[in-house]
Amino acid sequence: MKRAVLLITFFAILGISITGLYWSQRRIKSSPPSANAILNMAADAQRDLTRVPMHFTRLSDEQEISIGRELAAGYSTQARKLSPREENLEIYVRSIGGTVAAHAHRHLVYTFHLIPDQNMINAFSLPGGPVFIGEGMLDLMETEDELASILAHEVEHIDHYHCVERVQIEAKLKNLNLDIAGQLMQIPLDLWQAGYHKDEELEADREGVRLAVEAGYSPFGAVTMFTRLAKLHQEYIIHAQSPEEELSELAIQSLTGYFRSHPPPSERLDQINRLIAAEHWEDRTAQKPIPTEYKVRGD
Amino acid sequence: MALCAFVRTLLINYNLTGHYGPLSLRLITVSIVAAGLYAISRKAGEPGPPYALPLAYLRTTAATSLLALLMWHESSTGWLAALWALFAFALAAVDRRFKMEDLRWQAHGLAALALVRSVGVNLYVAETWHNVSVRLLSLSTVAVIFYAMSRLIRMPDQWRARDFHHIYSWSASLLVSLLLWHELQPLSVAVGWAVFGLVLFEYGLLRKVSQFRCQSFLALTAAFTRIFFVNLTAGEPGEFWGPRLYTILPLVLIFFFVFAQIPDKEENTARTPRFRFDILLAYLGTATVVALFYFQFAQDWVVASYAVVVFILFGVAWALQRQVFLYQGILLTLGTFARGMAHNLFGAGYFGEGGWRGRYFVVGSAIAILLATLFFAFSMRGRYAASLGASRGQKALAALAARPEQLQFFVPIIFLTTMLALKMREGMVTVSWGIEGVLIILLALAVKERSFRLTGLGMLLLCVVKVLAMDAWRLETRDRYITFIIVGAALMAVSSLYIRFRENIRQYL
Repeated sequence: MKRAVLLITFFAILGISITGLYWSQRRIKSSPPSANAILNMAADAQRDLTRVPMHFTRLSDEQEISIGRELAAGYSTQARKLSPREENLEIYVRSIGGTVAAHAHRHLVYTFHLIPDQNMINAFSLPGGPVFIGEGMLDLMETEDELASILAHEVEHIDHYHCVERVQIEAKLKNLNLDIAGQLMQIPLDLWQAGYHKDEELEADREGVRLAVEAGYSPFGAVTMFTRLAKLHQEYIIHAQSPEEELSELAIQSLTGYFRSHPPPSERLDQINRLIAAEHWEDRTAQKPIPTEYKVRGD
Repeated sequence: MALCAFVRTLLINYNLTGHYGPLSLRLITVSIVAAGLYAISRKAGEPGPPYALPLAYLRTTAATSLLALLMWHESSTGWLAALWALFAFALAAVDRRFKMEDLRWQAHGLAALALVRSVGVNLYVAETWHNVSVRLLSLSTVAVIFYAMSRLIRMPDQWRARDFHHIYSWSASLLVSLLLWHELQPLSVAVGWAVFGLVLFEYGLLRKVSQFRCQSFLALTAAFTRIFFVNLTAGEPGEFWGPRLYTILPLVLIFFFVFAQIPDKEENTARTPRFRFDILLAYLGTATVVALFYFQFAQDWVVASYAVVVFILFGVAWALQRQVFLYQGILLTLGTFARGMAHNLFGAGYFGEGGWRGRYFVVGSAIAILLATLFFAFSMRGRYAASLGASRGQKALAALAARPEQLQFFVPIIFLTTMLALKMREGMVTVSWGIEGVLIILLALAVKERSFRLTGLGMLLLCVVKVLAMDAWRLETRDRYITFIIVGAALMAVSSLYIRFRENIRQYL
């Protein structure tokens, strides 16, 4: 009797396994090997562990604003002077940014700056209020709603303490005294451009879309923007063709990917679509094109 | 003359290009020379001068080398390893039948060459034969021959007793695993290895061969490791029944099925007394579930899903009387606690998004499920004790396992108290702690547990101290009134409970 039960269970498990094998073999969309699962778990653990002490060592808003100002002033010396056209573009960015930032939870001094570099497809924010956006990023955009979604995302990084917590962690790691002028500049600019932890990025996406909608923009600005970024992301994925390529790719990813545990654009897109459905924003599809005079590609 | 024939064959005959009918002259002439060398070697093996036997061995070795080289010339790239393996098998079979020791060593040498060729060349062969991959066919052939040779090959008894003949089965299993890695989609490799491990285990169990079971454990461990590099992150966002689930669930079933078939104390584990594979499999099974849930559910819900796993582990430990599941339940309880505190409570957003669901429902569910494990925990109190010679970690775990109800009570209570402190409106924290204290005392009276009762009293004492030290001075008027009334009522309720159940309390003080 026991033997019969074992035999039936064995064949049932074998059947389930072979069915799984069959489905995975027939799956058209490939799942490239990566170290992402381990990197995600390590980054999650790191983020959770650092978040606990943050509750007990929170900086005041005034301290945060002063840190942000010092960092922004330091980094600004590295940038070239804006041309008249770029100055106009910055004023435009400032007006959109100001509209969305007015709805943030914390009333800080949000300022918006243009980085005059067409190769910079990125935006980042600093503690206390400064937000920077690259000209390359603006080049990718078609509508004002897309710009609002990106700026709102960056504002939410500040609003939800992601930026200031990063400063606190860096200061701890590098043994910096935040009260001594000049020490902050030991924090490299790259740190802010590298992005945040997956949870923080998703939080900034979610809250950023809310902020943009509260400011009167379409939530679909974020959808079209992330769709475009997802296409770019897809182009950069390397598909290993053999176990040897898998191993070398994993080694490279493990070395370079620890702090690049961003959620993939598809996951971010999925979250925004779910938010739109949950909030019944499906009819807010109308987007306002970026005026021709502010189009970077018009040059 | 034999030496002359051998040298001339090496120098001239391999370069022959002519044909005799469908066969090449090279094939015919080299085969004849090899056959001649085999034939005369046995004559030299007759009792005679002392150098006769080494000479005979040299002749068969020369013949075998000629044939192996001939195969290299005559076969296509993909099939050579299979031909060498087949030849090695033939030599081993002849040795087994006629007790010709020299052939046995040549078989070993050819098998080693076939293995090197398989790993170095055949894994990268892309050609097909009748639309079937030559890599698949040739490596499968080599693997089957190696498995057969592990049974067929003759060895001195003391070698066989130490399982040296299983070098062949290990090589075969290595080839099968590599073949699966190359032939299957990245997503399927873990399932392929797990199924292979299952089949090896069942065969090993059936034939009572421990080496097959060791190979099985290695294959299963490799399958477990593999999921961290492909399967856990597979699938599309929002897709519940996706490749992650249907490629990882079979692994869980296989791990626990194999675990269930290894008796708690059995003869074969005695060979590896330092390492218990059954324990390893039980941990792999649970770890797979834990890893799956980590990626399958929304980040906030992971803690609740872990609490469900804890409940199941305690239930299984109670029903099957397997200590390993109790240990796992305890470890995962601590993991759930760490995750909940760090991610859901201290790691949560600062602006309380998600309303009451975001604030209380997820962590509340986890707390409720953890408290539900008290039913099993009380039933297992004192059932397991630390074994002699246990390490410090094992002793600590055993101490927790001896009184599991303590951990299963204190973890959710600390969790609940912290949740109320962090998520409640400031004015309502003391009120909620007071209500919690009363509920703990009611639970303590129901289960007759002294430590629970003292915890409830401690909570109420904390409320009184907090009211006097902080709330009386800092709270808004309305909150202050509510706090005083509720905490006062809680204290009165507890006093009346003490008076009513005085006799019972005295019994278990």
